[in-house]
Amino acid sequence: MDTPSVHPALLSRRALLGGTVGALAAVSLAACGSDSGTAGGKGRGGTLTVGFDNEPTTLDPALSSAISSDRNVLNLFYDTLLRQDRDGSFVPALADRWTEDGRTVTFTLREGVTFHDGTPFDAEAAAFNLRRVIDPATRSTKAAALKNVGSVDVVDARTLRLTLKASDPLLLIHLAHEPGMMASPTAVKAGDYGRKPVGTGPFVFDAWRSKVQLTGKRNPTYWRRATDGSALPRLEQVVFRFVTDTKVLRAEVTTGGVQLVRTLPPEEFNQLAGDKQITMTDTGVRRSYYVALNVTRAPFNDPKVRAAFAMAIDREGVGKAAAGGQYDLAPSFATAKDWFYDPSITPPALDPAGAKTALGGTPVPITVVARRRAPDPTIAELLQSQLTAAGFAPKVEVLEAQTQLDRMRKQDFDAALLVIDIPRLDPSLSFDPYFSSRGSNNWSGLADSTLDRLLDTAAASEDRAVRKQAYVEVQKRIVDENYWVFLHQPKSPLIHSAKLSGIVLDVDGQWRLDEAALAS
Amino acid sequence: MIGYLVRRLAQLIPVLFVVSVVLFLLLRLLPGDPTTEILGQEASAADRAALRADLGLDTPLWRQFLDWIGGVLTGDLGRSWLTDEPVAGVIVDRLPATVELGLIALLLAVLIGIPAGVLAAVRRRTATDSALTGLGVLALSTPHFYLAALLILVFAIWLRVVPPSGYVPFTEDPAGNLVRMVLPAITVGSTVVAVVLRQTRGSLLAALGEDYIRTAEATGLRRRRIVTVYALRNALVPVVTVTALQIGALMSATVVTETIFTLPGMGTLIVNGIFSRDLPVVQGAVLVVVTFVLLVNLVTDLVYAWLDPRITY
Repeated sequence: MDTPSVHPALLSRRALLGGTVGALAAVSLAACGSDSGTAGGKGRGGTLTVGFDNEPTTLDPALSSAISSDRNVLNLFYDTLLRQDRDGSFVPALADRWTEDGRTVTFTLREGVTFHDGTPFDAEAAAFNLRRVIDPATRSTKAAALKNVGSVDVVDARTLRLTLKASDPLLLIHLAHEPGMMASPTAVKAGDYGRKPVGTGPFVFDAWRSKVQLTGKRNPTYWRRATDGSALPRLEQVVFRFVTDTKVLRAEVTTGGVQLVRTLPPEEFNQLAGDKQITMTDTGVRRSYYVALNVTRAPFNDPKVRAAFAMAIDREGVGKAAAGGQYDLAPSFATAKDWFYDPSITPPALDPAGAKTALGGTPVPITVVARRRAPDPTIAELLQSQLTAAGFAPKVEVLEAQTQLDRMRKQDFDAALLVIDIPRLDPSLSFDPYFSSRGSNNWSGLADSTLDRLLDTAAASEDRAVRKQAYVEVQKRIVDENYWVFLHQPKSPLIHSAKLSGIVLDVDGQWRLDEAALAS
Repeated sequence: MIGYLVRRLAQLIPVLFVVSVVLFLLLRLLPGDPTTEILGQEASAADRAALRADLGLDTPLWRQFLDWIGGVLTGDLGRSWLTDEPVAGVIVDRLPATVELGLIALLLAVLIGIPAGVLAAVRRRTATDSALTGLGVLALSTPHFYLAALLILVFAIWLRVVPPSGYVPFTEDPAGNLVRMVLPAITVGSTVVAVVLRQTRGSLLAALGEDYIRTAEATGLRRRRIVTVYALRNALVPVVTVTALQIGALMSATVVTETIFTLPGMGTLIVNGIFSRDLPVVQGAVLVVVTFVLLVNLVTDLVYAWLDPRITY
């Protein structure tokens, strides 16, 4: 189920509306908004307390450095010109409609929206935000997302035109997330913006105490309406409590101290299984463990040694031991739900004896770097014993995060164990950083022109079939060459109180809480 | 006395200077890069280099040190690389939780540790003594993270008398603050109570064996008066020493405890600062802690004189 626990009344109305939840529906519903809707009357108000393990360092979306987790918080305060639904389709948000002709995108903005500080949201404000991300002086972490935008022009108060340097199939995706979030120009210019966010979103920033909690209060004049016309958001207040210890986080869920958590590891969420107060839904979000092999030096510059490594690893065994059985196996960052997934791609079969023969009898010394954070050291130890059995002489170094990254950037390792959260908003965002020769996280030191060409093709095309073909080829190439060995993918279900409903998820599983409601 | 105080305070200056140099250099030896946290893991090498230049990390180390120490001398601890907040402000935000935690732990030590130690000494080699010293050994040898988990399980999950974690400032909600401080304070305090108990018992037993106690007994003074006035006062000097030493140890204990109970204190500030390579914050916070510990040592020496009139400065 993609959007778990949607209110039943909402669901049926949604089903009725079908695909027309587009510009027209949104506009007409916005016009007839009232609180008297049946669904709107139920579960209105209340404070939702969220247990969140990854406190943002800034609430300025242009400077947010997390790959996606900050968005759970930012979605409280900010809107974008358009939204991307869970199924990948785009729906209007701060823009009523838009037109594209390859080289320009023209947005017609919603009327009557103001930022929380009263500043009107108009084309000037929208242009200010996009130009701010593009301006090198901002040092925006999201600048690369708008790299193909040549100019941002205000046509009139309600019309914004982007002129592109090159067509960019990812542009709308980016505009629907952090790079396109609209902040109040007045507030940004006032300074210290990262700790005093002002957007147009469903909740108004109230307070942020570092390492303790962050509070947003209901925006009484929020422009968006539920599909039944009732006002949003439904909750009176949302509190994000920053709890990092997973055991404590589970204790908080059990005792009702928090009603929603970002993520819990399998050994913790397995213990919540019988609890009727708690709902756990597999939304398809996974963590993807991988081992990157350093191809810039011996021994893994030799494809035969890489193949032996892949044959040595018992991925089932690792998953059972390190993820309490709650895992999938996949040949890459793809999950079975992804459009670029291809079940025919299979990594080499487990064959320690074959690996040993291929290595030729003398143990091959290698250094494995892993991060000092459960369960990574356990996985590293499992790999160590499996590799030893297959004729390697592995040395495992368990390092603190920054030290490990430092070693990996300097390519001072043979095999590196790490994890990323998947899916991302687009496969290019998962594959390019790691497998392009220009990628920022090209740990393996790849310079594979075939891979580069496939990745470029996939990122440049608007045609899903072409893209799928290219990404399947990319995955095949990585597996065939054994550049990386993809381990298990632990499940990361959405965990919340059974009283909480209406959580809407982004494509990559981050929350939107404007429709969320708590039953009393 | 005043002259002594001035001399001791003057001695702090070279100590703090050496600490600053060592601290600054040690932190620079850490591998890693502050730009990873600021720009994210997937930023380009060029963006990282530009930000390093912005932060002044491309200048020679001596230059960076002079900039920092010059600021410190004029009361400016600099700004956090990660959040751009003034370091002094961050420290002021984080001090109350740690100070409160430390004070409650010390209070427990004095209110529980000393009487329990006295009881154990007076009832030497009885079941009471064995039970108390046994508990002391248990408390000393239980790691804080384990005790914390146990306390959460019993009091937050089974009995549900306190929340598992969280923090509200005392000034905003005193009752809510104390309820949330109980478990962390017991966790941190367990070690200090045990140390004080053992030390009190040991030195009281030693004092009770002294000649002047036998004299006091011979004059027919009541046992209670002999123990509390004659013996205990003399026995407390080493207890104060040990307690003062524990204040330094408390700082490291708070790191684990603050993390588990999600208290926004100095321990987590320093550790997270190191993990994210937010060095100005680490430097400022460590300097504050070091100054505090040095001052505690000074106060301890002054307390000796109060407890034992034979000690003069």
